[in-house]
Amino acid sequence: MFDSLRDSMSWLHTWSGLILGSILFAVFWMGSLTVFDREIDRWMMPESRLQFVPDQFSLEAVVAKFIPQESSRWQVVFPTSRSPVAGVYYLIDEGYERVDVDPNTLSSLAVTETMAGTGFIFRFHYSLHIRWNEVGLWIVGLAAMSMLVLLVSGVIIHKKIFSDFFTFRPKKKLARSSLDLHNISGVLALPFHFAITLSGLIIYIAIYFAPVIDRTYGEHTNTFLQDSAGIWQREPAHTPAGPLSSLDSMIEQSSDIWGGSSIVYVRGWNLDDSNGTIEVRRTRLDDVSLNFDWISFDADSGELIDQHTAKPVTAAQRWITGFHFIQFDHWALRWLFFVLGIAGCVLIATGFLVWLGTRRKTHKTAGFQTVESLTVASVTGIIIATLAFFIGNRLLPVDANWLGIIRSDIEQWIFFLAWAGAFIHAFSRTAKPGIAWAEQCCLISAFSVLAVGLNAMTTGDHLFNSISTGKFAVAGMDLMLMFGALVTAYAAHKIYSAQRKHQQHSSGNLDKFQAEQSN
Amino acid sequence: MKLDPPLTCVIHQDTNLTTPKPRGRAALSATNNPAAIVQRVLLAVLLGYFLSAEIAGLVGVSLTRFLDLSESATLSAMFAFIIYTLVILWAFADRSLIRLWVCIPGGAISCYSLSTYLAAGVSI
Repeated sequence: MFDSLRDSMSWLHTWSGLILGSILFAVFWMGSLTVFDREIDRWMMPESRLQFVPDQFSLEAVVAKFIPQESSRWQVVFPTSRSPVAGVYYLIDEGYERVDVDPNTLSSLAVTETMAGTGFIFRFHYSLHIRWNEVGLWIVGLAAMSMLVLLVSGVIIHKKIFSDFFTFRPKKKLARSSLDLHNISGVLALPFHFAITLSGLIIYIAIYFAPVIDRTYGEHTNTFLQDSAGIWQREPAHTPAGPLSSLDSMIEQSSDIWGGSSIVYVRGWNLDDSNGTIEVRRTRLDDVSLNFDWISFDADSGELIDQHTAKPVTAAQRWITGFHFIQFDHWALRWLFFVLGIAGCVLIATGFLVWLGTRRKTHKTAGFQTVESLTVASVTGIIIATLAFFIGNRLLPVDANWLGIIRSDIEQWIFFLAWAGAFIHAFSRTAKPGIAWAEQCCLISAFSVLAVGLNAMTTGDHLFNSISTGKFAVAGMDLMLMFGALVTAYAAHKIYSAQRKHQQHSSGNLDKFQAEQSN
Repeated sequence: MKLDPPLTCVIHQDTNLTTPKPRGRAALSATNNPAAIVQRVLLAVLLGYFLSAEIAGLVGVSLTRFLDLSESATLSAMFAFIIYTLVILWAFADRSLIRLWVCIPGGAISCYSLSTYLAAGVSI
């Protein structure tokens, strides 16, 4: 584009970052939270804060107790230590019923109607909740591609990548120290950011690069999903079904075949037919890979019909997918992913600050002001919206149903309305530089404390209680909220004191000027 | 291929003597050619996507000689993201817009033709 590669890359880095940075921040923020999606679920669904003892779970007992005989299709999601509730879903009269079961007592649990972490935050991360024609997925994909481009161009425009690694000048001007922070978070976490972005894209090869699969299959019928995931369905025989064979022995057999691995879920298919099948899926807890492994049994005879394991390349793709999902049982890595994800948020936010800082003196235009307000709304704004979502979850009555909107939808409305409010605030508070930042930081701090307080009041699980009874998901969430409150309170304090200093400085100059004039 | 007549070279030298070419940030802020930027974005994001998909598709078809169909498709589709990244960077790095207009759509069409030819050969 320009004479030198560095100039071209610098231009590309600046403008693609500016245009897609807001979406990237939202994706990184929601992605970092998704690392702890099941812990957020526990916080938002107080009934599910259970202690789970794995050995006591019997699928047969659950199916006998909760699934009606006439249901032809059902699924039971096994409880895990992070998600200690057995999820029972069954088809009856053309509609699915859901029951949450306490695996210890085999009694059904009340359910707080909420999308929580796995329903709302996780889906926001990859689709922005724009479901129409998968437009959200494509926007996130475009933002992810720009992240790859930003990372490579960012490395190219760096002359001294090694010395930048050790340079942080927090006492210098904001433009300087935010550039340092941009460089540190960018360079330090570069391998992670590259790997997490690329792996996120690779999850959706069948959508993002569908033409590649079409070309490869060429004249053959495109049976990609059947071939790679082993999706398979047995034709019904149209003869009535006999009694269901022992489910627990199927589980035992599967576990033996998989070297002692446990089960993530079991599904029943066509159980009103003599060709009914039971599909057993291998757990993803003991390995990085988000595996495609399944074993199918005949529902009547209990005989093993078929099994599937991914072929080598697909297994590699499943490993990459599993790396991105981080559902396997490894707490140290889960925290590392969270911290590095937040480092990505810092990288994107400081990128905006660098853009603003280098133009503050020369470009006091409407465009500059728009970018500044947009940055505030997309950085602190989305955090406020997330906290409003948590607070709404604790404040709404259990049976809330307003204007025909169900409770879980009201929670989502609260999120989007709070975010819209943050936008309006950011675009209206532009008179003094930094004031929008400071006020939104104060609000984050207050909302975090409020969320912790509401959790204690509505569920009784205050910090002391949650730690002493081993509800570490709840304790961890409360602690992170309090930590966030401290950080944002400190940030707001710094902005306000810098403003005061700035005011004194300029009014001091004015005094001097007036004194000189009177002389 | 440099076919510039000597006259333009002289003019270039003259301007270089009087006003030095802007460099660094000055060069960046001097980008006031929206038409060229729109072309590059179009070449990088849209046509670049098709080029990378067709290159990866050609790789996928070629791999079917050694791997199963689903395995070839998965492997080549995974690499498509790397190819796409490089194509986008190239679309902004190359000084010549004409070269980009020739290579990106041309490359996509060539790869598409070759892979459909190969796929037809495989199925026979």
